[in-house]
Amino acid sequence: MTAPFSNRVKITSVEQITPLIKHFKFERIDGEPFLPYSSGSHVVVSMKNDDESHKNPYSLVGSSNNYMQYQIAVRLEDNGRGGSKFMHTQVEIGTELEIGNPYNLFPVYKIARKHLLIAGGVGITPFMTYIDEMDMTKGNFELHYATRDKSHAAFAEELLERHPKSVKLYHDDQGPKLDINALLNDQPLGTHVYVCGPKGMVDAVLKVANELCWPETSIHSEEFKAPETGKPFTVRLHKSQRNIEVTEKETLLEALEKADIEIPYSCRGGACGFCKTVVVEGDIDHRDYFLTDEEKESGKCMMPCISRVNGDNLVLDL
Amino acid sequence: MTKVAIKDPIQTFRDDFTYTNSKEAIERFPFPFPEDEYMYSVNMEMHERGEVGSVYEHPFDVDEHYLSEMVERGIVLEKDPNRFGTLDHMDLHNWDTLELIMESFARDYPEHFSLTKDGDNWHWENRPMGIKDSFVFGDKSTLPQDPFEYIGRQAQGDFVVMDQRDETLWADASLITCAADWSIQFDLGMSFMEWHGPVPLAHEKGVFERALKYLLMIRLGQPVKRFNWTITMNPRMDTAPEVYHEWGHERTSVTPDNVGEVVHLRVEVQTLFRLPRSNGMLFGIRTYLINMNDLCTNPAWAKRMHRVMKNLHPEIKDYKGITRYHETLVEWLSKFDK
Repeated sequence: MTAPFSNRVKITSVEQITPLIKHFKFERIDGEPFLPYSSGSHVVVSMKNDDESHKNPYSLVGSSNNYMQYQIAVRLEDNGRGGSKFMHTQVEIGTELEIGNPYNLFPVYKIARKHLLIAGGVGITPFMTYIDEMDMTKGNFELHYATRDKSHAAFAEELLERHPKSVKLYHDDQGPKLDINALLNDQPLGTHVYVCGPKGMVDAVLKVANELCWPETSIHSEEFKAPETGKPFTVRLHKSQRNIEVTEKETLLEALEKADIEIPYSCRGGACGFCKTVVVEGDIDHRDYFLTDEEKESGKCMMPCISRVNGDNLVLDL
Repeated sequence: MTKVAIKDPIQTFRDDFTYTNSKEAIERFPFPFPEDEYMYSVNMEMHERGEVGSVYEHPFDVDEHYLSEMVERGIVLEKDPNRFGTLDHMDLHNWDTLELIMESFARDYPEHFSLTKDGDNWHWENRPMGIKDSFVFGDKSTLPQDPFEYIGRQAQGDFVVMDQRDETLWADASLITCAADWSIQFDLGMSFMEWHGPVPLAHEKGVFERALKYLLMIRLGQPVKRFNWTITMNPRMDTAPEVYHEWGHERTSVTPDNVGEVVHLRVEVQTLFRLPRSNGMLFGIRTYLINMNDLCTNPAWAKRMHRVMKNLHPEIKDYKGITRYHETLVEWLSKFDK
């Protein structure tokens, strides 16, 4: 009964929905249905051609009730390591890809009295499935969605049409701006805030919520943190007695995978905890959200999907 | 795929206790002890398809006792409707549960069950129970009961449906009619650590902390399982604290002459499934009962049972309510371990 961890899929539709975002739909190659999934779920998409390979997590944006189709929306990142560029330039109708099963690191808090959703730019993506759930459970919600201008607001028309009273749009170039302080200051007890967007926005919401003494369990965030590049280094594997080079543009996890070392993963962004690996030696540059401060301090484990090493000495218990 | 022969007429788990295990049922009994000594541990493993005919062949096991257990469940719910309970935010989880069980049954036991879907319009047939229902998925008004209670009345074993939030699991819906001396009416809405509070020794060993961390990361389509066990007098499914007066005194009824018929090993195959739409978790507690006479027809089990009982930690003995007849049981089992 164990579902295959990955599904071979092919692209059935590609649409440029904003100057920077493409919307992809795909189905399974074997014609079988996909698993339903929960609001806020992501899938890891594996891309590969002769020259490059990438594995990036993307939020699912389609309806969970359509078993035959999954959908994602991908923003072209100029400074990224190439995954989004691959999706934008190499992927067209008929392209075959591999995707993992959905996993959720940003679920709806079911007993919230009110859901306050704050999205910035492509951070709208996890909320697309939130809105479906709000429809199904008749949830009390507001969506505040900020983009640089109208043309960059993906899915905005559809959202406004479905929920004219609950959806509010903000554009940097005109009209009123999103006032996070005022917004969070004027919410009924039992409200949960969810924010997804650029780092600046996520940090601002967390800061205001903390200042206003919101309970920690009522604050939820998902930052689209792609692994950043860093200095190249060599990792030594203690058990298998191998040395592996990690280049400037690849993550430690990618370098290990390239050397055929299998490590479980899900988010590839330092949040889910699956790839936690035991460190024998090394001054770790921890960049994840998963390990506790104590664990980071101890230096005994690390998340190779996102973290690197200070200096050039790293020995892993692999 | 093996075809399951479901016993008809109905056997009873109360009053005259007509419940029996066939030779096949004894052979496939999930004997839980891999070692001569038992201690709590994080004994979880992948719940993958097991050997044909075994209790692990399918994610949800249907066996010869199916109809009898469903009748027993009906009797308990009739007397005490609160054995089913759900909190308001569990609708999505409960529909998830219905879908998971219906799809599994229809796929794994096509001779007994079928499910057809036309968008949200579903048609369900349960031939052993004579049920044929059409309903709209997601619309509670189209089913005679809450979707979880509806499917729970058609599936063997107890179920807890858990919501996941604040880095823990909450027992926010449940259908429990064969509890091994615990009360869901008391535990409904509790967190994982709260409802495991009474278990001795395991907390100190950090078992629950590690187990919880593992459970929170269970993925869609990759369920896990573990065993639990206790001893029950007579083949009684409903040993809930609410009806302690009906069964508690039976612990004093064990004599050297009746151990073989009266004392039953009660094994729970516990399964955990990530629920797709709600991100919650289904916790299945599938109970199997076997009396000592039947168990000891397998010489290896008889020997192991003797050693496990003999070596049992006093606190576990007390917690599981075995202390009073422990000596009699061990003495009876000793003849198989010479």
